[in-house]
Amino acid sequence: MSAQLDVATRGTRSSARVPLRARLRSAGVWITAAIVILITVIATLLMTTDDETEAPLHYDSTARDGTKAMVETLRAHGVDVTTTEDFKEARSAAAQPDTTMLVPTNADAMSAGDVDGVESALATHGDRLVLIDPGPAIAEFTDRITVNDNLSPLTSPDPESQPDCALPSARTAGAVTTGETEYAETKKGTDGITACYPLTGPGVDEIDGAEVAPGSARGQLITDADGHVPLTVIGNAEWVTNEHIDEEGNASLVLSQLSETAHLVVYYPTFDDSEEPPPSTIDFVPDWFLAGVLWLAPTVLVLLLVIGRRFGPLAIERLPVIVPAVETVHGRAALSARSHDRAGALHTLRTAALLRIAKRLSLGRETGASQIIARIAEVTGRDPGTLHHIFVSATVHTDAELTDLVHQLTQIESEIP
Amino acid sequence: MTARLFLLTLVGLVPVMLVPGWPTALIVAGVIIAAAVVDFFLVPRAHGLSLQRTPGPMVRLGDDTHSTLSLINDSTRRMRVDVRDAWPPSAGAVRTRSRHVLDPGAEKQVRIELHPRRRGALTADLVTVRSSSVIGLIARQKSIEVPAAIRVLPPFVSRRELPSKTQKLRELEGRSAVMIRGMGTEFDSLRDYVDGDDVRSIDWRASARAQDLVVKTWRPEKDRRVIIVVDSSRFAARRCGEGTVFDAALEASLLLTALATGAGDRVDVIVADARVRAVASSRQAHDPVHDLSVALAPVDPELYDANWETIASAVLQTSRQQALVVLVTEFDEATIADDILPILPTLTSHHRVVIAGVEDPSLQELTQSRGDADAIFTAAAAEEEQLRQASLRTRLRGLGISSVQALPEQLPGALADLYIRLKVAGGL
Repeated sequence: MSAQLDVATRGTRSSARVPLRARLRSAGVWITAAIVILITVIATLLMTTDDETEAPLHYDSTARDGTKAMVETLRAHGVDVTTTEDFKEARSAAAQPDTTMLVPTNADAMSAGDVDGVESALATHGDRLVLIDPGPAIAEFTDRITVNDNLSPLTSPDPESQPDCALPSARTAGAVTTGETEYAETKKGTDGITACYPLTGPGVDEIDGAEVAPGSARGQLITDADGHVPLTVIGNAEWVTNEHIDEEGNASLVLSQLSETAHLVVYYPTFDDSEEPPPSTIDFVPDWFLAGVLWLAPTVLVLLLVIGRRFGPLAIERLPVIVPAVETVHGRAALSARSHDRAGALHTLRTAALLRIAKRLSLGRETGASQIIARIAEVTGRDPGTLHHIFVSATVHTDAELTDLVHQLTQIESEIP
Repeated sequence: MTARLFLLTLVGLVPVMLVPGWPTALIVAGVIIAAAVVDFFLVPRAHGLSLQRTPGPMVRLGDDTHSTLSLINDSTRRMRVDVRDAWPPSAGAVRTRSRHVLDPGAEKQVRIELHPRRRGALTADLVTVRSSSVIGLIARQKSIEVPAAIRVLPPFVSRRELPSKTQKLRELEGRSAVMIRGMGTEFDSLRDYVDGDDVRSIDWRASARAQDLVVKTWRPEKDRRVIIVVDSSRFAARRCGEGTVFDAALEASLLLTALATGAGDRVDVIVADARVRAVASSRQAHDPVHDLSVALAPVDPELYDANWETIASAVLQTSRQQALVVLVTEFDEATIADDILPILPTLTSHHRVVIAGVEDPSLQELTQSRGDADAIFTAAAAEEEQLRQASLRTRLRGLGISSVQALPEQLPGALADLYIRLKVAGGL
C-alpha cells in the first residue's frame, strides 16, 4: 500500500519523534526548577557554614559572654590564632616554638593525662599556658598557685582594681574591672610568681586565712615564670568577654598577655557525653528485623512511584455550553418576593388561570373576564359574587392572604372539567 | 518504573534481613539501581513506533461505533509496548489499554469500541505508549498526538413520526384537490361538474368541447422551497428537558426535511448565530436527511447573539423563488422586537415566514408550584414568562406570521403538522 493511499484510508500517520527544540522547550520548566533548587541549596549551605555557638567564653560566640571579639582583635593585630575544640589538634598546634596556649574555660573538663600532655608539649619549646578562671582545677596544672576562695561573704571589693605590681603589661593597662575570685601562691614567697590586681576595699584585708598564708602574693592576675611551664592565670573571666572587654584597661591587659608570642592556640575543652544512654526499646529489637523495616522505606518509595505514574495525561473533553434558563425566572421571582409585589403576582396568576379556563370552556379569545366568571359559576355551581371576589376584586396585604387566595384559584380551576 | 522493579526491591529484603547492616543494604541498593540503569538504556524508544488512527463509521447518537489504532514498528528492535488509546469521556471508549509485542516491521491493529454519549465531532485525545525491555524494570513512556475524530449525528428520534405524517400529508392532498386556483397550487386535471362545485372553477372552453360541464381541479404545487433557519445563538444553548433547545431544533428540522423532501419540495437548512455556521441543501442529495445530519453534527450553540441581518441575507441568497421560511428560535420579546421585526418585511415580501420555538418543560412545572409565598411568587414569574410568549405569538399572528411552540419532544411533530396544514391549503 502506498503511503498516500494508506493515509487516505486509515488516517494520518504519527510518530513520537519530537524536534530537539520542542523537547528543550518542554524541559525548560524542569531545567529552571533544578537551577533554582541548586542555587537555594548552595546559598543555604554558604549561609550556615558559620557555625554559631552560644557556649560561654567560646571563641566563635558573638553572645555577650563569648570571646569572638578578643580572638578577632588578636588576629587583626597579626597574631596567628588557632582555635579548636579537639584535644589532639590543640596539642599538636601547641608543639611549636613561640606559642601561647589559652584555655578559656572548662579547665576541669581536662583529665590529668590531658594536662600532662599539654604541659609536656608546651615545655619542649618553652611555650606559655594561659588559663582563664580555672577555679579549683588549677591544682591539675600546678601546685604553686591556688585559688584563694576563703573570701568572707561580707566583703565588698572596689569595682575597679589597681595593678599594684611590677608587671609591665599590667602597669600599662592600669585599672581593670573587679571580679569575684583571687588566686595566690601556695607557699609564701615562692620565686617567679608575680600577682597583680589584688582585691581591695572594705572587709578584704581580713581574707588571708587558713589555706593561704597571710602576706602571700595574691591577685586576680598571677603569673608563674619558674614553674614546669610558664603559666598565667587570668582570674576574672569578664575581662575577655565581648560584653566587658572594652571597659577600663581590660582589653589592654588581656591582649598584651596573649600577644606576647607570634602564635596563639585557643583550646576550648568540652565535656565528652560519653555516658551510656539508658537502653531504649529499640535495643531489644533484633538487627535483622530493624534492617527489614528500614529496607521497606525504599520499597514503599518504589511502589509509590510505580503506582503513581500516570498512563498519559487526562483526556480532555470540550463540552458545549449549556445555559440554565430557568434561573432567570427564579431570579425574577426572588426580586418580586423581596419587593413584596403581591398585587403583580396575583394579577399574573389570575390572568393565566382565566385564560386557561376560557380555553377549556371553549370561549373565544376576546371573551371578557365577567363572561368567563359567569360561565365558571354555571359549570361549578359557585356563587358568582365569590368568584368575582376571587378572580377580580380581592386585594391581598400579606403573604398569607396571597397564598390563601391563590390556593382558592387553583381549587376552582381544578373543578372545571 | 514498573511492578517488576518493585518486586525486585521486595526481593532485596531477603539479603538485607539475612545479613543486617549498612554494607549489605548499600550493595543491594547498588545492584538494583545498576540493574534499573542498564534496563533504562535497553528499552527501545517509542520513536520507532508509527501510529495511525482510523475512525469508524458515522453513527447516530445512541448507536455504537469503533476506531482502529494501527501500530507499526519501524525500528529494528522488538518492541514490547503498553498502549493507551485516549478518547474524551463522552466518546464512551471501553478497554482503552492494551499490551503488544511487535517484531521489527510488524504491524498490529487495535480496535476500540466507542459508545458515544454526545452528538458532535468527538476528537480523539493522545495515544500514550509505554515501552519496556525484556527485563522490564523500567518503562519509558510517551504521549503522541494521532489526529482522528468520530462524527456522531443527531439521534433523529422523531423519525418514528415520519410515516404517520407522510400518510397524513398524502391523505389530505388526495382528499382536498383544491378547487380554487391560488398561490402554491398547480393545475391537476379536468373532471365532470358535480353539484356543489364552485361555478368559478368551470372550464368553459373544455365544457364547450365536451358538451358537458367540466371543472378544473388544482392540487398543491410540487417543487416548492422550504428554508429552515436554526438559531444557534445563546438562546439555543438553554437547557430544556433532557437536552438543549438546539437539540430539539435539530430534531424538528430533520423531521421537516424528511417530510418535505418526501413530498417533493426542496429544503435548505441554515444554522446561524452571529455568522452562518452550517448550510445544507436537499438539492442533488441522495439522502437529504443524512446529508443534513452530517452537516449539522459538529455545530454546537455559542454564547453569541444572533445577527438577524446576516441571517436574512443568507435566506435571500438561498432562494429568490417564493419559499416557506421557518425560523426556529426563541420567543424572546426583546430579540423579536429589536432584531427580527426589522428584517421581517424583506423576508415576507418574498417568502412566507413561520416562527417555531421550544417550550421549556420546567417553566410549565414551575407554574404548578404552590405552597408558601415564595413558591407562589415563582409560579407567578413563570406564568408571566408564558403569558409574555403567548402575547408575542398573538401579535405575530396579527402580522400574518404563523408560529408554533411546543415541548422539545413535541416540536418536530407540531412543526410537521404546521407544514402539512400550509401545504394542503396551498399556502406555500
